[in-house]
Amino acid sequence: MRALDIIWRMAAMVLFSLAFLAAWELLVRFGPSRSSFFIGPIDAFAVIGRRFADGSLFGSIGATIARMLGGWLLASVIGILLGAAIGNSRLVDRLLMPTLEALRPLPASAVIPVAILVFGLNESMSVAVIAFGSMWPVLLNTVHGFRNVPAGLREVAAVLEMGRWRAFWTVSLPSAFVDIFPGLRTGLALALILTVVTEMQASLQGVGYDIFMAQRSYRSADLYAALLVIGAIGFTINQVLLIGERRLFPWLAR
Amino acid sequence: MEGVSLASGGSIAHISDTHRIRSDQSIRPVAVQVRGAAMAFGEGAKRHVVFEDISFEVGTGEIFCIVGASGCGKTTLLRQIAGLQRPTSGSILFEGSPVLRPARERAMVFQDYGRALLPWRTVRANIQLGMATKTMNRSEIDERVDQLLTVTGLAAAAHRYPSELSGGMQQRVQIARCMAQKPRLLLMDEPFGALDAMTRQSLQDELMSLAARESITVIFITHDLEEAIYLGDRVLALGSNPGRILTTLDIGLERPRHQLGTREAAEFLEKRHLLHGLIVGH
Repeated sequence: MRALDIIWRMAAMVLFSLAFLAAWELLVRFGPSRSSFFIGPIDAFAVIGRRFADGSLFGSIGATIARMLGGWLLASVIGILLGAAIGNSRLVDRLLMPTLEALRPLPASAVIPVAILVFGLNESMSVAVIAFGSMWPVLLNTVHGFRNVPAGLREVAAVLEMGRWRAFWTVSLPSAFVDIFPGLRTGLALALILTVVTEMQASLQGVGYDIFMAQRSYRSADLYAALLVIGAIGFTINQVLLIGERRLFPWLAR
Repeated sequence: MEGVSLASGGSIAHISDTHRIRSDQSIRPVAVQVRGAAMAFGEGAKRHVVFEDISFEVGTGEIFCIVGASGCGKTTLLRQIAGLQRPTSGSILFEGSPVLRPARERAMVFQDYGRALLPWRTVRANIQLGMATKTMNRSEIDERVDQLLTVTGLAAAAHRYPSELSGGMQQRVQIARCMAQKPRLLLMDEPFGALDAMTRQSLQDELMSLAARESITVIFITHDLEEAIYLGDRVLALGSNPGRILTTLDIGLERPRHQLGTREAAEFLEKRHLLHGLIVGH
């Protein structure tokens, strides 16, 4: 039954995407817009095919994914460490939280000029901006996760005479991780957005830069091709994390 | 059990009269002493007393039930014996030493089994959590867990997660984890209150045979008078506002007890009437 369910879900997904692409193509060919910059998916996929063949697309995708993962990993490590400290200690909470609450509303894209001044137009600037912007969901979810470890489970740790360290690893961390993981997922989605933005700003090799160049040179088909590639990257990483979630939390009801 | 009896010095002298009038068993060494325990909030005019002046003793190997209407503080009293809370005055001793914090030798079966198990651990891993595994090798651990799984009827569910089990099965896991602690005292807070009647009865019988086999002292809290009489060697009745001892009743019913026979015995019904009059009649 489970295999059938998967086949049905895949079929529904593929059918709808094909219908969407067909409608797009038809709109371009027979729709009211006479603009020569409005390109259909057939032309866009032709560009993707050509760039696959000449290998240039691999470089872009590789650079974008590496940058995104780098920033996201940095954000996740900092977010989880800070969040765990804040969620477990009132003192750290009172010290750090007001400052963090003031930094949090800053749009990551508004921080880019500052980051460029500090780091220059380079990879470090990009990773720093991605990390800054994608840290918040991880941080806040981690704080929430540690604050909401059920009192009953803390008492179980107490009656079993677990030390602080053992109680942290055996009870608090696994309990909080259920909240942390969705934060990681949201963070990764933000990391992809900021990767594209910083690539456009700093002219760093990647799919974002491809968009920038396509726009500059009026190559609409390249533009749509790059958008499709970014969509595919986002879809794939989300699927990977969803599978990871199912593996990590087998006890949660599906 | 053996180390506790006469070796623990003067403990024999603390045995109160209630122990001596026991009809079916010999005098037991004392396990738990509650001396003038109280729980109160606030100061002065705002002072609210949950219970006060609670004193009793529980003998080793005894099943001691505490009944009372909700609000009499019976859960708080049990948490004080566990060491999760301190009495605001008075003291609690276990085997002669004051109870200051929770300890593995005093296992606690929480009322809310759903929140007392680690949801990310299988039944097997939850039970193993109760064991002091540092001095044991892998095969010793597995053997002990297997044994507990069998005793509690969980063998078939060993690799399932708590969320996949019924309430009765989850409570069995909690009891098995407590047994894995090798406790000398088992504290139970309305453990079967949320279960259906059939499951409750079979767990009552399992508890009694387990306690007898492992010679554990049990303090069992319930609001179900029949359950208290059925399980207990003695039943302590608490009144409320503020909580205080109404009476301590010796249950002379012979063991092993039976769900039908024991509950139909004239003596059972007589105790039930007595307790009912004391607690509900007030």
